[in-house]
Amino acid sequence: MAEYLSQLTSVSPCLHTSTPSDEEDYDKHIRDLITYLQQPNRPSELSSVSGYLLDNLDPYLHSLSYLSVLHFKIQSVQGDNKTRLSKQVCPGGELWIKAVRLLRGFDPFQIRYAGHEWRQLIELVIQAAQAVSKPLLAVSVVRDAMLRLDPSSEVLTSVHTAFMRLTLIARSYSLALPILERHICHFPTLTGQAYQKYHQPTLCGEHESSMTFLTDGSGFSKKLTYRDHLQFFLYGAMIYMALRKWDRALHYLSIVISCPVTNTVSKIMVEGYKKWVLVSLLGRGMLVSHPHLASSHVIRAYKALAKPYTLLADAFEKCDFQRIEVEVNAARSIWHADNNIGLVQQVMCAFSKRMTLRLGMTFSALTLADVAQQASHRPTSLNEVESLVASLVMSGALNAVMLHSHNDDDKTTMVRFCSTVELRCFQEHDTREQIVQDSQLLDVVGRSILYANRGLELSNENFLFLQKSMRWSDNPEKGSARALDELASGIDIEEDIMGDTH
Amino acid sequence: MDSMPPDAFESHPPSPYAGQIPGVINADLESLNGAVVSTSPFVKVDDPPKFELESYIANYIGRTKFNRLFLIGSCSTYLSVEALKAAIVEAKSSKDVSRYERAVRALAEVAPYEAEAMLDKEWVDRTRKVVKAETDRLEHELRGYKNNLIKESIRMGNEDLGQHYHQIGDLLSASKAYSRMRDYCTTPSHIASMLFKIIHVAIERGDWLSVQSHVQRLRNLQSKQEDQAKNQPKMSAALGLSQLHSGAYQEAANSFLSTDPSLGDSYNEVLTSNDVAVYGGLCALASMDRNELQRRVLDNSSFRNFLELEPHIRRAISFFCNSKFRPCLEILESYQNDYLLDVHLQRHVSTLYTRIRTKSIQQYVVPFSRVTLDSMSKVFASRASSGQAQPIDSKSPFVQELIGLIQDGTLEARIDLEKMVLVSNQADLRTDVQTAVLESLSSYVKEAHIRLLRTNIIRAGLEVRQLSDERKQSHTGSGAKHPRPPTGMLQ
Repeated sequence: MAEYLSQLTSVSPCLHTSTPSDEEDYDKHIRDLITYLQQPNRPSELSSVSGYLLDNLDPYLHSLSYLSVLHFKIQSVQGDNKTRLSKQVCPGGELWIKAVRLLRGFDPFQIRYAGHEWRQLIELVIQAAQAVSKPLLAVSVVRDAMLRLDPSSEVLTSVHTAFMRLTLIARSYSLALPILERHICHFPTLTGQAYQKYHQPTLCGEHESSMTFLTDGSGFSKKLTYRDHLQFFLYGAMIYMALRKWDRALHYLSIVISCPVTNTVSKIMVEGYKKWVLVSLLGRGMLVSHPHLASSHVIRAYKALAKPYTLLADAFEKCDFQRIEVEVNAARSIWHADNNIGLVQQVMCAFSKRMTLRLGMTFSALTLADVAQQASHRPTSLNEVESLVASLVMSGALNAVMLHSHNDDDKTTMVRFCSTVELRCFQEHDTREQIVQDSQLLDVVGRSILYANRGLELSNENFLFLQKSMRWSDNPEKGSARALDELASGIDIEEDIMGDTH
Repeated sequence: MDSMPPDAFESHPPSPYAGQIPGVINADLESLNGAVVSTSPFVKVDDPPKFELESYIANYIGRTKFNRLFLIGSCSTYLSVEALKAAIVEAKSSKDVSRYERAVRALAEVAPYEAEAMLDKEWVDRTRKVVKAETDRLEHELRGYKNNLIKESIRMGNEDLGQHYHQIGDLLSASKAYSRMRDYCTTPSHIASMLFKIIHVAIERGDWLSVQSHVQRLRNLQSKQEDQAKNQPKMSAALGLSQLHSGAYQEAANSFLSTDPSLGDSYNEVLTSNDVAVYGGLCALASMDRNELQRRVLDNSSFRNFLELEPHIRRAISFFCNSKFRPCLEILESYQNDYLLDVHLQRHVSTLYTRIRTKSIQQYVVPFSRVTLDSMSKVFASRASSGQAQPIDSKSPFVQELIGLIQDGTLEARIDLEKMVLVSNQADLRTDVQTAVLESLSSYVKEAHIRLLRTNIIRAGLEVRQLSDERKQSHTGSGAKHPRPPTGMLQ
């Protein structure tokens, strides 16, 4: 047993103050360990003493060994039984605790070598939590593990989609925000680029972007299909909807509906469009114009498939409550079938709110009776209107005051809207917040664009290189062999440039 | 026949006059020409107008006389019998049978027992025969001229034919005949006269696009200075008319304002100087601000000649310039009936009046930061409701009108129903700019994010594709994968 232990603890986290040569050394160590673990009789040997090993291994110092031992153990416990989970794996079980311990405290650098096993472990945790109908137990574990592996969370993996689904099932929406607020910008791609043949960065090194280790072949993600990323953004939007952050939800839905297509439209996109219509009514009070990245035939398909929604939006925009009611009642079965009944009901509520807000544009003061007459669509008692206005004022949506008159015989209540000028001092704080948020996003996007440019060979270095090689080929007296040499040296130049940035 | 110039009449299909204000405007003249017989009148005017029918209609000559009489007859309940009788007399003096029939039918509806309400069958048959013979004769002659290949004769033959068609009310053929003259015109004056004839027919047909294009052609014509000067007033008037009908009131005002007073009564087959004054004045009122009105209308020495003919328009404009909106609106209101019985103005009166009224309200509010609703309603509320000093509340029509104006963004103000004042909005430019900047920032960032994702989706081959495509792809994908060892720790 001790012999195993000494073998397994041969690798400890590197100190990351290292020079490239140290890094390569470390890389070699890890690869040796992996070869050791991969030996054919190893699984049975290790799983037999797994109890002792798991107690003695530190999940941070020896993450890789810990993970593989746990993996072997789980495999032996599960056996061939794919459908039923054994008790040990379920929450509260022995292996569940070990798994959580690892996921909360692994070393992100070591784990990069075992993407496949890591993902299987996470999937198992999600599955186990759902099997005992306690999805909440897995939410924060999975989230922390994801952020531990990739603090920027820029690259979409299948784990992301599974996590969003889990959050929705657990109804713990705000727990997903740390993931959603980091902006997904990339997808795992094949590392098939020319320079990477010459310059393969070590997996364990410090990298600027998680793109370098979250690649197509790393195993951190299943093979993605378009459904996965559409689902991720749709789920994200649904989480924002549940939290009533309409603006963010609208952004996520815009991503869904403007997804690039080849001659066809996904049903997820149509679902996204339906929700997009409702959310834009809720968030902006009108149908915002389509993201112009979506091509016209896609928009046409949406419009044909989501007729009741566009009709409802039309009625909403025309401020015609009767028509809204008619549209809502006429398509009740459709709302139910699409599971959008909740949103539709919120749209109905948002209408009277919006009408009241509109009054602020027209009037600077008016009686409550006038509010009732102008804003609400059916005869409502003054008390109801008063409570509606009061709730709007308190929520900060409406900048107004209500004044009760002193006279006993004249019981009118005045609603006085504050002028827009007086608002400025309140805005300062919000403005700051918004600037900070947007600058963060701008930062992320800017950096990602840089990476994408490199990936697509659109960066300045590439253009310089192209320019040079064109000059060479224009020169007739040089032989073709010579030109090839030059080309190779050109790649060297580029390689150096890329090397600087890593 | 084949030598029809490509830019002639055919290039403007007659029925849908694209680019004009909704179909209604076209209906009036079309219906007068018999194309749409059963159109009910656009408005009914019950009160007597201010003008004397006989002296009014005496100002006009030619076919417009009948058109105007018929319009008055069908729209004014007060003058209908008198006007329709005059229209019947007018129609009978010409050769247009369909006009006569229409006038008789209209009269029969209003006053079935009048002697004129009976169709004079004998006249109709006789006139038809005469017309047919005349048409045959002219066409025959034209054919003869064509065989002889004498340009001047062909031109004149076409002209005669066009004139004849025009007289009998076949405007389409008239227009075609006139445009065929084009190839045989030798002098600029010929071309000018041909264009004028086409314009005349087009005005009657309500083909305003063709009026505009032909006026343009007329303007580009190289002709002598004095000819130009002679043609200018007619050209401006025709252009103004077409712009009025297309709803471009500002341009119409400009055209009418630049009409030379030498127009006199030379264009009475279309419109009189009085009409120029009224059309120009109303369009200017509806589209120009006070400074412009003062400078370009009241101080305009040539347009003054027109305004003198219609002194009330002049008074209305000067009241407007002096910010006396009540008398201005009152004058306009008192003449509304007259304008509703004008063949060209009828469809536009309400639009023009609303614009003038809205503009007055806007102008009235400009100097105030807050103004009581009471004083405003004294100026703008209609007489009937303000006869007794009615208390203003949120339900009075004037306040409703204000609410409408604020909601559609014409009036930058808010109503205070507690103190009964209209408070003008103070624009806070700094905040506006800040909000705009923040908005553009966030929309930029969002779009950049979407575009980036789009690029990366395409790069990773994750576009939405058809199921069969996808299967094919995944098939080849897995096929390629097989020789590779399973992923995981092995890398």
